[in-house]
Amino acid sequence: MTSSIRRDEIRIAFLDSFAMLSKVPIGLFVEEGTIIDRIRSSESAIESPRYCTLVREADGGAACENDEACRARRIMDSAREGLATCHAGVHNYMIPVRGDQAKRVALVFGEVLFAGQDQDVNHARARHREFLEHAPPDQSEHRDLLVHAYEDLRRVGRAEFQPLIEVAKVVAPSLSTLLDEDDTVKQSIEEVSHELQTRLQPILAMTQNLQRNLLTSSTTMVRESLRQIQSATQATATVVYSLGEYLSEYKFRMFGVGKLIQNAIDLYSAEAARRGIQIETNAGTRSAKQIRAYISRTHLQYAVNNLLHNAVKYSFSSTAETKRVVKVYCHRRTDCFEMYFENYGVGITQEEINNGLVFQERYKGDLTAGEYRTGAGKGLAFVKRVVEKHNGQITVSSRGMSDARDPIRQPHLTRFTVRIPLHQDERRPQ
Amino acid sequence: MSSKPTIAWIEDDSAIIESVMEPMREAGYKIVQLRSVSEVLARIEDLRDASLILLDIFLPDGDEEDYPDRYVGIHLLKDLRENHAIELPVIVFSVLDPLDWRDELQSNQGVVKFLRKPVLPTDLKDAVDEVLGLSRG
Repeated sequence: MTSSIRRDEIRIAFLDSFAMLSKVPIGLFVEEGTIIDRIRSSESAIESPRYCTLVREADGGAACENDEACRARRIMDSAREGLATCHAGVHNYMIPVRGDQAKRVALVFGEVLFAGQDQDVNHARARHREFLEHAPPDQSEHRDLLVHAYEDLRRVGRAEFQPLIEVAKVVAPSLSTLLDEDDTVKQSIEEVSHELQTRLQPILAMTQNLQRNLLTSSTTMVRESLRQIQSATQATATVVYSLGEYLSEYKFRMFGVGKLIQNAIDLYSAEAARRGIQIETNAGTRSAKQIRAYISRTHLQYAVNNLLHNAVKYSFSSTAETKRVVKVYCHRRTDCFEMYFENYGVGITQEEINNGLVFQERYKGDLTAGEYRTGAGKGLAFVKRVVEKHNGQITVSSRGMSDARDPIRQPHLTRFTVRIPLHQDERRPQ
Repeated sequence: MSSKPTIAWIEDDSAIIESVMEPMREAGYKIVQLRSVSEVLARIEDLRDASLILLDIFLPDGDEEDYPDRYVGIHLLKDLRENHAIELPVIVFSVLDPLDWRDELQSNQGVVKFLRKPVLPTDLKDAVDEVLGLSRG
């Protein structure tokens, strides 16, 4: 992705700038699973095998269990920055940048010897040479490179090194942000791609089934198949709309809240009508039209679409005896506006609500089954993210409306309520 | 219509099974749907009666200790092989082509085919026929 490449370039530019100004090498150690990778700035790119694979005791045994990667791991384990010194007397300062289990990152810079420690340095240098003498023969090129690299190491005073630490502390959080954004974009694109594949599967299957059965199907059956294909296509369209959340920037402008709801109703009224569901709203009223707020219109529209589509999708269909209604209302409160989406149909358990499961990625409700169990469980996670970017809140309630013993068949009155400030403060949303 | 083997389809999305299984059902296959890890483990005997597993990779639930990441189907398969002596051939049918695990799944976990969603229902039926050594049609 272009944005990802741009972030890589920014990351290298950060490291390069530091390396040029400080005259010391800098890099990132990135650990994913059991693999640890070193990302150097282009200024300090010396490609070589892991030091510990080169240095050997006279009997061929491993001499180093304390190379840069090992030390970076320890810093990441402790989650505390600090000076790390290898057996060859080389000092690096390491700052943990990111510490989640899936991916850990440490910023590492230095590769220096401290002035005034000549005796220690000479001793370390002798050990370094001695170990490298026993490097595997096929690694002689790298061995020579490392011997020379040690000879060329910069010698600095501790007082000279301290300002570099202060600068690196400022750089580290920015690198962390870049890495986070990078991962979020990659993960989001992958998720949208998987979601689209999932949604396309029934459409592809239903069209082939219709084609295969066309000559033997009644008009009613053909109509029903086409209705199902239309519904599945609309569900897929919701995913495509959500791409905007990932790809476009949040831009906050004053906009009418009622209009957002009306747009969503226009989108899903046909699907609701086909299932005999009435959408009840105050979006067209004068009071609703007067609610205007600073919102990122594109993103909040997607969220409103998603919430309304869910309300329709998880509503039980009308029967001859009962008319089903989905309610969408918006109200102005003192400092915020409120929207709610209410339906009568598939419920959400109290446990799912209390534990926030309903807003987790890939979560599918315990009470969804059959035709109501669709999609990849991304929609509400996406909605929550959009609401939080507006510094708002989303809550949900769901209560059983009959004595039915089977909770899956028991109708629930479910309401999602969104509250968003009318104004966004000066700081950008999280 | 001749009687054909039973297929255990491990897939949480009913809409996918309902729409894709038509050619297989017409051909006489009996399809048993298992929607989650807990359902698979509760119905191990159904798996023993089956001739083939169709396996989705992204599945709900799964104990975090045994299923450390979101590729739940892969961990479930290893669990079935190692702890439940299920030795059926497997077609992985998922949105993901598990490149990192392909060799391991083929060599050690009895995966004979990988199909990536979306596929035509007839293509899935042909793949099932082929794996079970049955004539197409």
